[in-house]
Amino acid sequence: MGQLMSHYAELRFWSPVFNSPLECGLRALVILTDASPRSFDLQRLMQYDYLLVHSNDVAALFPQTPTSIHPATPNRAGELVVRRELCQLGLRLMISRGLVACSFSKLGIHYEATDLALPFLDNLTTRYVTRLRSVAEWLNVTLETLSDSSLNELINAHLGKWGAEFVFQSVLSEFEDSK
Amino acid sequence: MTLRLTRLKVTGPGKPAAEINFSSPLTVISGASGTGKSHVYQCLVFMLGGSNPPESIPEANGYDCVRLEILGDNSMPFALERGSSGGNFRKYDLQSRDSAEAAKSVVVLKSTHKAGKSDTVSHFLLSNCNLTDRQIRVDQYGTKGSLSFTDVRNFIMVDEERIITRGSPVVGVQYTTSTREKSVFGLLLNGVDDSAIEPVEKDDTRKARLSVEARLLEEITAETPDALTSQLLDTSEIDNRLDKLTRSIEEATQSISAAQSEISELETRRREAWESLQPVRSRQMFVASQLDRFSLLQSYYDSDHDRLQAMVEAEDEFSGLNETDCPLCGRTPQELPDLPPLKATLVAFAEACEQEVVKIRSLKQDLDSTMRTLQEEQSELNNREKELRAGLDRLDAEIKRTLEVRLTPTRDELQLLISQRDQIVQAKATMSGLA
Repeated sequence: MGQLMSHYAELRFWSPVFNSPLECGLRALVILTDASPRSFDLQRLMQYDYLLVHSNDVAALFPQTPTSIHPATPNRAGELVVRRELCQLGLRLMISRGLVACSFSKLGIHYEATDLALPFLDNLTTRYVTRLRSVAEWLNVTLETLSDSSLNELINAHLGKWGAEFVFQSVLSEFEDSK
Repeated sequence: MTLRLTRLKVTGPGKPAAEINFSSPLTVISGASGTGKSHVYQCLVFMLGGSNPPESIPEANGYDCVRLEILGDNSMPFALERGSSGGNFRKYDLQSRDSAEAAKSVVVLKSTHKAGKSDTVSHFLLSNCNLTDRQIRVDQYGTKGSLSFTDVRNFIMVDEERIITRGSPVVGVQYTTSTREKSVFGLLLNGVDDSAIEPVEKDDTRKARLSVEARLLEEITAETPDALTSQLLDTSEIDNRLDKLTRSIEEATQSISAAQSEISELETRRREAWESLQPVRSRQMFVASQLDRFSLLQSYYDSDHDRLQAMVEAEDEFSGLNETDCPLCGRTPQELPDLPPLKATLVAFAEACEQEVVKIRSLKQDLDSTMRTLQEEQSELNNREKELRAGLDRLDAEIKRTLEVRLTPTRDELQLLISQRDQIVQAKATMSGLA
């Protein structure tokens, strides 16, 4: 059973069905639409995206943290690494439909939601999207005052912990598989 | 050390005091017969501790108190008063001359001498002569008595009848032994009393004692050998006791081994119970961890299900949007081949998502039923564990009780019995050695 579990978790993550550009782009859209007219760079957007679905990971740091939308998978901290590419693809998708606009300045490349974004999102009725939007609201308010560098520090300081609770779990599964 | 009589006085209510003053060192009372010479002498004896009151004479009528003034050691003035009919004395200290002070100094003194007592007139008078606590020999056997002032009195005054008598002035004066009188005289002469002498056993007492002792010894030596021997040889009582003890020891030993075998049986059962408990516990742990992981999987399924549904809807809406030109170079989507997927691809994506949703639903159903089975097993296991633990605890308690109630006290009792038996066996051996 242990083998099946970790196999499934891997499959899920790397399958084209999950974490598709559409999905990532959609999440980015949710964040940007709520934050509008504020714009984010890729790094910040990535970090927000992670916390959007794994909000519980920072429950100790902020008050009234909503429970994570995505389950706490093992080694999920690794997601941050691969998110970059996914977010880029997602953003490109959103831009191609005019939902997201990117701007260039001496501060770098920034993304923001267009006027089309809100009506588009309002058409989406699934529970998942509703939850995304509600957590995005909390996230934007909570992290509003954090500078890019402070947010970096925070993420780096806690990365090691997220997903580490499964270390014992895997030991246990190894133990059982060996029986 | 001096004792000097200075004045004798009699008083009575409404009567004029009558008194005589004495001179030093010798006073002679003389006068025609019937003038009261004897009466004076009797008063003096009376006031020096004599038990008989003076003979009553008509002239003494109405006088109820006699007073004797003396100069004691270091010329300290005292007065002794006594009621004419007898009884205790009152001693007054006359040093201060103030009659109120003198009255306050009164001490009551008893009239009869007693060895060791200092509240007697005898003791008071003797103390002024340095003759207190003296012992004098009273008979040939060395019996000792305590010197009283009466003994001394006869050497300081003498009446007319005695003066005339032919005989020793020392012996035969008092109603007492001549030995005593001689001892007193000896004491007065050389100041040493008889306290050092050892009483001698009287002959007849001695003879009686010796004969009794002789007889006793004869009796003892006569009866001893046989009596002792017969006592030594009669060990039947000891043997009885020994038998009884041996039987008690056997009983105790049996009781102990019965208790012990019970305990060891209980312990076997206990070990078995514990051994049955272990597999239950490890299975419990395994089931618990399985259920944990399945809960997690359940949450994955739920989350994925929701996500995929959202994607299906999003794709549908997304497809409705028109592709815009590239914001960077202005080329149309068709001109850029490596751009995000076309409509067709997106549609296929949506279909795939829908399909996944169905699969997930089915997977979830399987998982739910597996979890239910496991949860049932878990509650069964919990019940079984409780049962086994309760049984274990009961066995523990029983073992403890058996130990405390039966084994330990009986062991103590056995120790005692064995030591008693050993003592008797030893005693027996000693006795047979003696016989």
